[in-house]
Amino acid sequence: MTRQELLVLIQNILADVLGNESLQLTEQSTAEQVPDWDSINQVKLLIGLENELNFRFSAQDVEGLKNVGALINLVQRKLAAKI
Amino acid sequence: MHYQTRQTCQTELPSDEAFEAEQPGHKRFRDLADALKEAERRANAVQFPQPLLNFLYMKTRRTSLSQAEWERHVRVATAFDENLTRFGSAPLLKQIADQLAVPPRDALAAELTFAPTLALTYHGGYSVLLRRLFGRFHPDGVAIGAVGKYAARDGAFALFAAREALLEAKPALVAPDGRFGKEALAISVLGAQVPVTDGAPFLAHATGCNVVWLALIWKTHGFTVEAIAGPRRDAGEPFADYRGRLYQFYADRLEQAFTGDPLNLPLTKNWKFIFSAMLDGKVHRFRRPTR
Repeated sequence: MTRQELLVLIQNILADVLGNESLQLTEQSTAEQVPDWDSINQVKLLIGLENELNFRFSAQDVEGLKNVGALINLVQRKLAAKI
Repeated sequence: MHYQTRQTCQTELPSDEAFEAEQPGHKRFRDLADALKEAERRANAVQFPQPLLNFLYMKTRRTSLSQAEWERHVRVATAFDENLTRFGSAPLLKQIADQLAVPPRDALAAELTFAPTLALTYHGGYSVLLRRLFGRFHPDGVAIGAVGKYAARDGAFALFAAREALLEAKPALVAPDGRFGKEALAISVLGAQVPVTDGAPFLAHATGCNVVWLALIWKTHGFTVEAIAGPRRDAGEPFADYRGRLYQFYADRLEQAFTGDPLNLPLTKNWKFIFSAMLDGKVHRFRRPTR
């Protein structure tokens, strides 16, 4: 998947979690910038990605994720590891 | 009930050395009897607002105690808790752990402390000591706390780590009355409104794990662990319904703790503020949202 495709996927999952259909994310977006993007919703987003892409994050994987771009990097690494 | 794992208990953990080194220069207690004796000696110096003591005494189930006796026990418990958490030592922790690691008298309770179980505790009743013992008995479990590897202020990481542990059949420990996380609702404890988060119910609902109330109880000559089964998620149960059941259980356990043996009632800052605010007709809103 390309970075743009992953960005759209993350945006769609988070929009669903937050109940915010007009949510727009960029790679620079952070949880602090998005209303209601708190720790539980972050975990729901990660679970959504796991279910969608059929892999499991480890706790170590998700420690200290700074922004959406960092999450995309992580997802790309996980997808590459599946191949 | 005693606390024991099916695994061999480790005799020492790296954290013990950290425990020993936390506050160099202070007296460190190496024996439970010493820590208790010193707590009894300085109990009179432990002060609480009198209206708070009057309120809690009015609620106590230990009606055989006079208020003076009851207050004395609360002061001793508070000083004892401080001695154990701030001035404990590795040998002391080992002594307590060894004492707990005897064959359990209640097999059901013992079963519940095994994975995958989400243990709920609270910020009272020797809670720091409980977290240290949890880490000692379950080195691969996740204990979410104000500080440490799974610090609640890094909420997403701590929650994810706890979920991971539960999915891998390891235990997790959380105190829903802590100060981190966005307030989701307030529960009523002896009439006081206590803001809580969605964290604990989310973990239990998402994983379908066992839930247990876990508290460390002082009994004359040593500690035991109180482990009481809590509600599990039913198949297809909506989150909001489950959250309500889980927090009703939690509030009930808290009320039992605050109305029970005053030697197990160290009054920590958080709960002093919660009850004092209630007596002033207010709600102590202490939560800090985490990301």
